[in-house]
Amino acid sequence: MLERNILIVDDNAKVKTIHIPAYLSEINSLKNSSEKWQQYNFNLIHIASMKDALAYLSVTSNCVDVLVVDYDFNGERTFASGTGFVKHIREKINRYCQVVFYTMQGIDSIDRQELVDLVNSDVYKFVDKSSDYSEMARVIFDAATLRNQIVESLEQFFIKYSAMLSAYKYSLGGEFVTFDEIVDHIRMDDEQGRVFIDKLIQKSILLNTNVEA
Amino acid sequence: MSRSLHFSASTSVKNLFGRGLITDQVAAVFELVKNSYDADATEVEIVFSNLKSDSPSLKIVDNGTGMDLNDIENRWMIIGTDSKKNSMFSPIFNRPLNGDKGIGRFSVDRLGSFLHMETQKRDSMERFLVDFDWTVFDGEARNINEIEIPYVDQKSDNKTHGVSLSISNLRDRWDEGKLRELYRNLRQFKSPFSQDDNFSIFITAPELGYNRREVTVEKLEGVSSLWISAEITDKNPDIIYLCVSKDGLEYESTQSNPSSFGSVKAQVFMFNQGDKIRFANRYGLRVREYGNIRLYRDSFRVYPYGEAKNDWLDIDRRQSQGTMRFLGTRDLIGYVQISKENNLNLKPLTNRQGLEENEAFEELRKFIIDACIKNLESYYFTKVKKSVNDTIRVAKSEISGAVDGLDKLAGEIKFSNPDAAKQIVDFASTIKRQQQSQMQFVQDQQEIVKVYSRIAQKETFLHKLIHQSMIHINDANVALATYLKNVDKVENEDRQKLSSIQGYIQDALSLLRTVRDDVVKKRTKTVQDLALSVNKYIQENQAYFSESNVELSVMCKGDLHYTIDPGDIKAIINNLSTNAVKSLRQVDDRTRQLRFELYRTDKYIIIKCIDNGVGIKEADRERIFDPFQSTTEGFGLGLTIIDEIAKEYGGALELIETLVGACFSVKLRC
Repeated sequence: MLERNILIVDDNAKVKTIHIPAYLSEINSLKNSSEKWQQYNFNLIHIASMKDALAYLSVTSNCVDVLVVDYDFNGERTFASGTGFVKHIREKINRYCQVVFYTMQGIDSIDRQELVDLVNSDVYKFVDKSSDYSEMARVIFDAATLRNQIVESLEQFFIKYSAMLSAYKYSLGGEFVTFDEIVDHIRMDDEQGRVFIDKLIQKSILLNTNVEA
Repeated sequence: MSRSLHFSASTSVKNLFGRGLITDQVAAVFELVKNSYDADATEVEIVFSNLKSDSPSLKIVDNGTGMDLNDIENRWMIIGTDSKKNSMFSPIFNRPLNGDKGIGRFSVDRLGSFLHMETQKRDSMERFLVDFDWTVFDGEARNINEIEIPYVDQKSDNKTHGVSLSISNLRDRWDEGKLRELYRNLRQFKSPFSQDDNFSIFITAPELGYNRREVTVEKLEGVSSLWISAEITDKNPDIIYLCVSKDGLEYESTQSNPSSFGSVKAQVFMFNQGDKIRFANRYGLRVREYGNIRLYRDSFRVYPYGEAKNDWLDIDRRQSQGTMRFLGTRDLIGYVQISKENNLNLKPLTNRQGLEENEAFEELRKFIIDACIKNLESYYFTKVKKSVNDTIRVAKSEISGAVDGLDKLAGEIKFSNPDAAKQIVDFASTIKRQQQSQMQFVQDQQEIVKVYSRIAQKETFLHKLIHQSMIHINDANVALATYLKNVDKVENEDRQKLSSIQGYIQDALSLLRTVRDDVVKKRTKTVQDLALSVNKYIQENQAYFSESNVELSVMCKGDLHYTIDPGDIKAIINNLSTNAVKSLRQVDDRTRQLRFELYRTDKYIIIKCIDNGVGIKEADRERIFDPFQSTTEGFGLGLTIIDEIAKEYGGALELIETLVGACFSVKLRC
C-alpha cells in the first residue's frame, strides 16, 4: 500500500466533520476509476491552527505528502496569514511536499506580493473554497499522486526504520549526521540532501549495472 | 301644540360624500386601502383588468376582518356611521385606526358606477354578495332609503375572510401614467417610519406590466448626502432628539422642546445638485416634482401636505429672503409622523384633506422649521465647526498674534506715515483672510478623513461578514451534497426535496461569490486597452452567444486605453451581455442582435450595449438599478454592480430610450 498523508490546516472546525468525509468520498471514487490507483491509501488529517500545524510538521516522523493551507486564520497571530505559514514551511521544514492553497476570499482579493510569495513557494494549486468540493478533492488526489518518487521512497524508508537506525550515524561530506537529520536535509532539498541522493543513486546504478568491456 | 320634525336624506347625499368629497381617483383608492388596513388585513391587492378594452374594471381585495349582514346593514350602509369612533386601535394587530368619518365606503362610487361586493367575516362560514348600481341614485331625487340593494347570502366552504370590491363602469381612465401616479402615491401613502407593519399593498395590471407588484417605501438615505432626523418622545416630551447625517457622518444633539402638541418623528433630506441627479435617475422624477415635507398620521399620509405645489410650511417664502441662507422646497423631501393617539389636538378635517388649522398645528409647523430645516441649513450653508488639532491651534494663535502686532504697528505709524499704515492694515487683513480659508480647508480635510475612515471600517466588516457567511453556507452545501451522495436509503421524493434545498444553498453561495468578486473586491487599476478586453471577452464566450443564436458586433472608435481594474471591465461586459442575452432569448420573431459600441468623448469613455430583445418595461424602469430587483431569473445584481463600478470611475450607468430592445450606456470618467 502506498500511504498518502494529507494535512489540512484550516481554522474552520467543520473541516474534520464535513469536508474531510466529502473529500474522502470523492477521492475513493477517483481511486476506483483506475486499477493503478488502488494501491494508494489516503489519510486526511485536520489541524485548526498554524501553530499546531507547525509543531506537527516539525516532528520528522510525521510524513506529509500534501499540505492544504487556508488563507485566513481568525485571530491567530503565528503568521499574518496562510501565505506566511507556507513561506516558512518552504524555507525551514519541507520543500518537497505538495502545497495546495485555498481561500474563501477569492484569489483576486489576495495581495499581489503575497501571491508572488506563494508562487515562489512552489504552491501546486490555488483553489477557491466556494467552488465545488469535488474540485478540491481532485486537486488533493492529483497532488498526492504526483510526488517525487525518490524523495517519497527515502522519506518512507527512513521513517519506517527510524527506531532501528537511531543508533547509527552516516558520514555525509565529512560530517556525521543522524538518519532523522538526513530526512530533514532531503525534505529541505539542501546541499547535503542533494549530495546524499546523488551518492545513493550513483551507488545504486553502479551496483546494479553490468558494465561490459 | 308641540310636534317634531325629522330629517330625511335625498339620494344626492351619496354624491355629496362620494364624488363630491373625494375628487381624485387616486385618493379614492387610498380610502379603500385605509379601510383594509383598519380591518386588520395583512395584504390588499388592487387588480386592474382589461385596461386596454372598452370595459375595464378594478378589484380591491383584502384579507381583513370582513363583514356579516349586521355590519353591512347597520354600519356600512348608514352614512356617517363611524364604527371606529369609539376605538383608537384595531382589535387584532392593534393598529391605529385611520377612518374617522364613515365616508370611505363612498370612494367606490367615485371610482365606478357599479360595485359587486363580496365579504366574509373572520371565523364565519357565511359569505355575502351585494350589488350596488350607483346610477340608480343619480336619477330623480328620492329618499335614499327607498333604494333597494339586492344581496345574496351564501354558505362558504372555507374561512377565507375579507372584503372584495369589484368595481366596473369605471369613471376614469387608468393608463400607464395614471397607474404610475397611483404606484408613486401609494408608495408615499404608507409612512416611511412604519415599514414593518405587516401590511402589504400589491398592484396588478397585466396589460401594463404590473404583476402583483408590491408597493414599497423609498429609502432616501442612500440618495441624499445630508439629512436630519428629529424626534420628541412620550417619555421625554421636553427634549428634541436630533441626528444629522452628513456625508455618512452622524452628529447627535438635543434641544429643548417649547411646544406641546405631543410626540412626533421627522426626517428631512436635503438634496444638492449631485443628489438631485441621483434622485432623478433612480425615481424618474425630479425632487421638486416629488413634493416636499409630507405629513403622516399613524401609518398613512395626510393630504395635501407636501404635494409638489403645497408649501404648507412656507419654505419658499423663507427662501426668497435669502437664497444663500435658506433651503427651498425644491431642495427638500421629508416625512413627519404624528399619531391619532399622541397628538389629540392635531385633528383631521372631515374631507380627509388636511388637519384643522389650530394652535397645535401651528406649533407643529414651527417645530419642523426650527428643529429640522434650520438645523439642516446650518450644516449646509455654514460648515460644521469642529475643534482642530494642537498644531493648527498654535499656528492660528501665532498668526493672530502677528496680525494684531501689525494692526498695532499700523496704529502707531498712522499719523507719521499714513500710506505705509494703510498698506500694513491691508497686509494684515489679507493674512487674516487667508488664514481663515486655510483653517476651513483643514477642517474640510478632517471631515473627509473621518468619512473615509468610517467607510473603510464598514467595508472591512462587510468583507468579513461575506467571508464568514460563505464559509457557513459552503459547510451546509458540502454536508448536504455528501449526504445525498453517500446515503442510499433516501426516498426519491425526499431526495428531490433535498436536491432542491441544495440548489437554494448553492444559489446563496453563488450570490455571495458575485458580491465578493464584483462588489467588495480590492481593485488594482492598470492601463487596459478596452477594445482588446471586450474582444477577448467575446472570443472567450463565443459559445455562450452562439448557443443563444445571438449575432454579435463590436464597434470600437478612437484610443480606448483606460486605467481600470481588469476585473471591472470584465464585470461590466459580462453583466451587460448576460442581461442582453436573457432578454434576447425571449424573442423569436427577429434575428437576435447584440452590439457593443465603445468610444471616447472629451470627458468619458462610453461603453454602449444595444440589443433588440424584449426591452425593459416602463413599470420596471424605475427599479432596475436597485439591488436584487430582477426582471429575469438572476439575482438582480448585474446592473447594481455595473452602476457601482461606473461610480468608482466617476461615471454612471444609464438606460437610453430605444424603440426596440434596450440600450445601456456605461460612462467612465477619463
